[in-house]
Amino acid sequence: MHIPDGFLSLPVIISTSAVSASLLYISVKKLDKEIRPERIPLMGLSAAFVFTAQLLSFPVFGGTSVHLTGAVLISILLGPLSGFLITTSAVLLQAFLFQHGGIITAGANIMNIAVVQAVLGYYIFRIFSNKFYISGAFIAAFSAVFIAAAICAAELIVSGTIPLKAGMIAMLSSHLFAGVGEGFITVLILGMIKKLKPGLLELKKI
Amino acid sequence: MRHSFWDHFSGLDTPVHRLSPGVKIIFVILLVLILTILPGDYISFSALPLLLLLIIILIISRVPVKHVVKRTLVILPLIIPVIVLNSIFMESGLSHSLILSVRSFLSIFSLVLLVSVTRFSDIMKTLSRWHFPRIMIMILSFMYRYFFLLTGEMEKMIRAVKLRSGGTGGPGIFKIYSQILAILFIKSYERAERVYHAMLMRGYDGNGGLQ
Repeated sequence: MHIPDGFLSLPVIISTSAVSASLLYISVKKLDKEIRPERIPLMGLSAAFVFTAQLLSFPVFGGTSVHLTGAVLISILLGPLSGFLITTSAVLLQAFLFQHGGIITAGANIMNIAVVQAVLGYYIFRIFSNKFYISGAFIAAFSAVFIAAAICAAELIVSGTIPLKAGMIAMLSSHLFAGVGEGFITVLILGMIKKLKPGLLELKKI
Repeated sequence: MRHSFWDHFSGLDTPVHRLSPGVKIIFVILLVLILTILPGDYISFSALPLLLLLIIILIISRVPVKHVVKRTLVILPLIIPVIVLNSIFMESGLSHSLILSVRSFLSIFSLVLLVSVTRFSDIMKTLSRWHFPRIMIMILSFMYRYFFLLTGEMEKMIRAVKLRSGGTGGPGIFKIYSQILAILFIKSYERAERVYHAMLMRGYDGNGGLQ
């Protein structure tokens, strides 16, 4: 889902960057005003955690593997705007240090991963969280990955990088699997945190 | 624990390394922007001069070619599916995907070069001078510093699981790996508390400048 430089056309880059930049502006303004200083190391280490967790491949049947994106997970734990900034940082660092993604396409990648997964995913979770905490987390993680894949495919199609029908089918079918994996891993992690240190589920959500 | 820092060769001392980080960042952004904007026909004859320019910079910077090539090739798993899709489903798919590959290959090459000749802390300082949000700089710097530590912790837990389970896989491993990540998050949270207290002891005032 990390789109490298050269894969997107200028109009797509400008419009997605505009969305990402305005949400970045809003998040920074709000967090600057509201957060307490001890929250900054927590956000930094949570970002390092997301970055590390993404490296772990979970073996699934038949030699394939899935890995966690962690955007919905971190939003559920720390809140949507914190989750947005953390995943945005992860996207930027991956582009710079791993060449996973790009710098001109960063706006698009931030939109797919931070806006759609961390922010939208969090609000999907909130619809269910009062009654069904665990299944709500599963639905949120799954649909966030799936919607992000659809938007990512749309960006590539509008840019003329991949063909319309086959591109969409390829992206969605491969991410159906990744979405289910994301859902299961998110739920298992939340369950384990609840068992070991339930207080962490009650952190202030910003 | 592996401590292969990603900006591994950024500590060398060559004319390219001594250039101001801001100049290098702007150069790379402009280069990638040009590669993005240029129409396909222009790419085919501007690709070679651009590649030559990057190779000259690479030679002056004395960064090992092997390192740059290895890091540039991470693009392959992304390019190959696109080429396959295009060649099957699009007319003129092959030439189209060739142009795409050139675009992203040169972009990645220049990015790899940038992080090989610029220290990460210098990039952060430059971004901070350009009024990039302070909280983002803080998060990025924390990530860069603690990522290695957390990776080490995660590897240690996985090694312990593998030793005790006798290397058996199966669906159980899925749950165990999730539990490892849960513990890793709890450890990160506890470490953040300790780090904050250490910062307070050293006079952190909530503004956290980059010195």
